[in-house]
Amino acid sequence: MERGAPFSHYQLPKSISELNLDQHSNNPTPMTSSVVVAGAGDKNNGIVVQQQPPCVAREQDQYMPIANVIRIMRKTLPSHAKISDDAKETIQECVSEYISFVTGEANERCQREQRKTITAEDILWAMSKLGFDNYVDPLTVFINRYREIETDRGSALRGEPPSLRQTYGGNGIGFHGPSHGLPPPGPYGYGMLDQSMVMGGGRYYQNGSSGQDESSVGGGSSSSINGMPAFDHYGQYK
Amino acid sequence: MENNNGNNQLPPKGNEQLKSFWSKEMEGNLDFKNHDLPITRIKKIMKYDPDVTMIASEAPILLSKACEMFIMDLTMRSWLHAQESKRVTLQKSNVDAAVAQTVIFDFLLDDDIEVKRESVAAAADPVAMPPIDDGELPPGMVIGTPVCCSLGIHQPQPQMQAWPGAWTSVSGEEEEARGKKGGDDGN
Repeated sequence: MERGAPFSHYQLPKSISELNLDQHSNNPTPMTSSVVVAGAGDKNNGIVVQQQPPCVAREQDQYMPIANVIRIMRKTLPSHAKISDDAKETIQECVSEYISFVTGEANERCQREQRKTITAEDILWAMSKLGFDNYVDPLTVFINRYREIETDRGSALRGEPPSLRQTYGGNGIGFHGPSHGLPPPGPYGYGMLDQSMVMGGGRYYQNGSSGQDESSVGGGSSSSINGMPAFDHYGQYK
Repeated sequence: MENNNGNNQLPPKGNEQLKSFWSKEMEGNLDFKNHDLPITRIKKIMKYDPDVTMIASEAPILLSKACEMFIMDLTMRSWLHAQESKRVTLQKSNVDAAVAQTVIFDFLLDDDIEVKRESVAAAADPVAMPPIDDGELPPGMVIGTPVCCSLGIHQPQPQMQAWPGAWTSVSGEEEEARGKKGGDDGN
């Protein structure tokens, strides 16, 4: 069941659109095409004007950037091949249709299973159902490697707890200089709580917050870990 | 250079070349930060559907790779048609022919039919060089002939046998994907 022409719910100002384009500045191919169109074409200008689609959505946002599309096309074609402007625009439009086509099928599966979030598995399932079986195996390898890299980043964050422990232990001390009269494990117990929160969040975001007002060397970290519940009460009284 | 002028049957040859390209792509393209296609744009296009509410962060990343494969797939099939016409310039008619000749690209036919009629009308004025007739598979540019007639092509899909195994491995990652859903509620 093919869906109709997509209509836009999001109308962003041009500045944001330009920012989106600037984010992908690694774009050696200029937008102006230097390919001479063979024969009489509807558009002889080098400027790409998207007038064929009937929908009112923003022209710039409903298609993939044509420079990116052209770069991928050139990777497929031999070096001596040329591409007419009409062919570029047609494939550019086909890509948007492909995204909407696969997304619609994946979303139907989500709704059938009463879920709200479209996942990568839904996309893979949709492509298999729609006949793009050849794409599924390479994409499965791709997404698995992507997840491995994400997992490695998470484990890298877990390697930082020792330094974070000392840092947050230092935050617990509100006095200048170590005072031997106070129980040392108390502030470290408080630091442990903050540290666990940071560790949990580290899987998704790199929390760069580190309060290093005082750099104090804490030698009783292991004992504070064991006595966290007990010494937490002492932390409240300080 | 690729000489495919003697290629009568498109799907098997195209599949071989496509798989070769895909394997090369898998080896070379492991930079997940610099996507060839912008993720924000893909997300925006996905959300044109009013029924689409929430999208996991991995979905547009996966789609960016899928779109790259789609562009390569469609470009290569179009180029095969261009070579049949002895040309070094990929024309829109070659793209339309590839779309008409490939079953999995049926979802593009409604829009392309309209565009094709315009191109056919435009081609009527100048004397366009007719492409070489394959005999079995018409190029799709025949005036008056509905494109649906050429959709009798049925390609054997041996990949279906490997699909259950792939799905099983994907299912193993489902917990991780669900774990990331919580972080994506803000999208």
